[in-house]
Amino acid sequence: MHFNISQSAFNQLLQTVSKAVATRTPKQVLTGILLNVEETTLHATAYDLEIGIEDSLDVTPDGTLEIISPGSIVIPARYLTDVVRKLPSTLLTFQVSNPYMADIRSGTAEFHLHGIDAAEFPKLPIFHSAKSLTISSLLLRQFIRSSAYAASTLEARPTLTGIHSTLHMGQMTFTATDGLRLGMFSENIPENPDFSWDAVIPAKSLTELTKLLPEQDMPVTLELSNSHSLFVIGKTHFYTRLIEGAYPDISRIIPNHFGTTVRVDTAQFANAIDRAALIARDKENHMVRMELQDRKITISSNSPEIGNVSESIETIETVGDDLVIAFNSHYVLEALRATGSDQVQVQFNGSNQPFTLHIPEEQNNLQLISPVLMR
Amino acid sequence: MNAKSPVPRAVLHIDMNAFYCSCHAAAEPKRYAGRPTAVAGSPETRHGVVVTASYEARSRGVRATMTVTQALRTCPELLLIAPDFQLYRRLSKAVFDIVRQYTPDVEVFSIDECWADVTHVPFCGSTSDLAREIQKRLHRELKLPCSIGIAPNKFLAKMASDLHKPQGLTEISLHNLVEVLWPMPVGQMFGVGPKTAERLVRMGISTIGALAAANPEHLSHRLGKRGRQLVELANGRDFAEISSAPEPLKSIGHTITLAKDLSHPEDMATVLMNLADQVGRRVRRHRLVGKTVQLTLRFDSRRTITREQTLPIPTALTEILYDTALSLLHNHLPKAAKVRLLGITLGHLQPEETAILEKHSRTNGTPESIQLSLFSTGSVFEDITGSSQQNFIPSESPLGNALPPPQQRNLDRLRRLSQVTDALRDKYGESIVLRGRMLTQDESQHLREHQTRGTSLQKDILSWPEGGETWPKDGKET
Repeated sequence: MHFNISQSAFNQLLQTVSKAVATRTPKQVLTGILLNVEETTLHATAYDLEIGIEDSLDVTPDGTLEIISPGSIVIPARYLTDVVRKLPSTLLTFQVSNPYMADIRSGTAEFHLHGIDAAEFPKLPIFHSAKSLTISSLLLRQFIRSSAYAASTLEARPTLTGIHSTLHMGQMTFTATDGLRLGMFSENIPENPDFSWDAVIPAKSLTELTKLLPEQDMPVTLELSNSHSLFVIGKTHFYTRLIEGAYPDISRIIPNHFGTTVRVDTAQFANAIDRAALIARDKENHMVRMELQDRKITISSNSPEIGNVSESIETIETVGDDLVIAFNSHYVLEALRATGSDQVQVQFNGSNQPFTLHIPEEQNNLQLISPVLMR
Repeated sequence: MNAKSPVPRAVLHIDMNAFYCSCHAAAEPKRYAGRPTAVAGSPETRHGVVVTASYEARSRGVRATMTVTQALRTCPELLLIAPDFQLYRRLSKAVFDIVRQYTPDVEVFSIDECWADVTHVPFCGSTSDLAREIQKRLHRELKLPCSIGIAPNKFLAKMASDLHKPQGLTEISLHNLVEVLWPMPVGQMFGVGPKTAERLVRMGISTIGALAAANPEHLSHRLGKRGRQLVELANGRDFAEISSAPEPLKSIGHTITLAKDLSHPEDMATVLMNLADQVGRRVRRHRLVGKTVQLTLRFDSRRTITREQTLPIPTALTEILYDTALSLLHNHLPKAAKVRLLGITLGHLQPEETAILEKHSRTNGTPESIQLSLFSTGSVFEDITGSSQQNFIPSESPLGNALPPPQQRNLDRLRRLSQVTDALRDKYGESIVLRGRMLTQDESQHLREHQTRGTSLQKDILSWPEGGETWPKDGKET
């Protein structure tokens, strides 16, 4: 195994896959990156059994990568990534001469790193005739951003740590909830495939995936098997395990009529809540109080030890009853961030029922939050 | 306390010799008396270590903590006995009852040890005559041998009883302290563990005498407050009272060593359910509630970790113990780990009543906020099944910092359910009502068989409230 590669290309390749390197594991091989050199391609793979990332680089005439002989080896990721990152940005030579010992040379610097037999590295999941569809990377990012934040981080209810991803009659929906708030996003898929799917994908995995999605739009291919899903972005393959078990039926908790509907400027609303949150205490659920009187919203918060704060904003439109409600300021701020529009429509059913936030005139996105009860 | 002028006291430390083995010899003298015996767990379930060896066995080289295989190699004629905690408990109680006939000031230290303050016992004869009489009675009436230490305080009495075994009678006074105690290595001193001993030896203090002569300031600098106490003890000064009231329990827990390593979390969950069930039972039996749930994991490499979570509201409910332990397991179980031992401990115990008081005084302050749940209609049945995937009770709610009213109600219902099932199990046996998961064939089921389980003893059974000295009958016996 022997190849020459530009430091920046190699560094980029390793950085891409390093997000799937296992950190806490008794299996040493999982803390490594598998390098596999074929006739014209260099593959790098990391797989912590939860997520797996494989990326590759082809030999090009410009000399970014030159392959002299094929082979494969696993090198501990911590050392490999650091070594490559700190080498000068010129060509470097990677060679396995002695078994399980990689030589990395650049200029007069010469590293010898102990490796592990590539045969020990676990195989990535295989997708036989899996369901697949292609969507825009920007749309996928929006799907994840609008839902992932609401997933539970506690493993006690495994399904709630995932995002429920469904495709039905050409409409794709992502839903996540931790039982206290819920984020949902749906969109018609232009490709409109004639199959449906239903899977619970770990929210943590999808959050990792967003870090690999490019800034500019490009097609992403999704594949789904019974146990895993695969996202193909250019040459990068991102694998994640699926969560087993049925997702709770959330249809009955989403209200369909409301007593109060307001439309507000998102930044104004968010800033007022953000400021009030400074006084809200975490042991009281970061509770912030909101009072609506016709078109005036008063956001306030008080803490006997710290002090209090109050601030008013004007709604753009108010329909329905006045109300007083309290909520966890962090939940609302996160929901506003997930909504990501200039204006937001907030709908209430009194002070002890869940309320919703969404982009005005759009039905494809919904954030649902259960309020805090004041005593 | 130190200011109190030391009234000369007479303290006995009664230490039963090879207690578990002696109990079996007393119960079945024809089979076991005078023979090399060892009480040990069963090697098939990997509990195969010697817990206690009779003196006949010890003279042939058998030691506690040896594996059964090692022990049989050292002494092929060794008779192995499976532990019978009900027998030990019965005889232990009989021993302490005899001692209590002389003085009410008896401090039970473990199942086979106690201190007795006999300063004011009306007895014609010396303290050692009294000790000899107790020793003889225990031997005559219960056929149990013991060593007794006689001293002016608890520490010296404990050291004294250790000096001559079996059937010793040793007196340490402030006069013979220098000859008897001081030449002993510090590691043998009561209250000095292997770690402290190592540190002391590294500081050049290798005997109790050297410790007595050490500068307390210097030592407290290195060992903390404990350093000063150790110097006091080494000089034979110990003013600790004999307290007949049992120490309040700090924690209650169970562990189980598994016959086969588990790698599937689902199997571990079953074990956790059985552990949580028994821990919950014991805690409720003491009318206590606890605030911290600790999970113990030992991997196939024997590496052991403990992970802890603090609960917002102290509890004794099996459901919450189980949920918390399960979430600790999910958070801290390394991928592909194989688990050899699992344990759940409920710590920071406090009486139920004070926990309720605390809760009320807290609500008197600022109004508490309650985060409502999206799924607040879950029936109590879903609560109990706990691990069900479709469970609509959000994961936070049983543990979260505030409980919406419906879940608060569910907690009350769970509490009432526990009362009913506890009462049923007290009356008809542990297996009369079980959770579905507990029906899964699993060795951790044996946790419910109180007579035979494990190789270690829970100290709290020595001080059951309301005189309940026996556990309810196991399903097996009825």
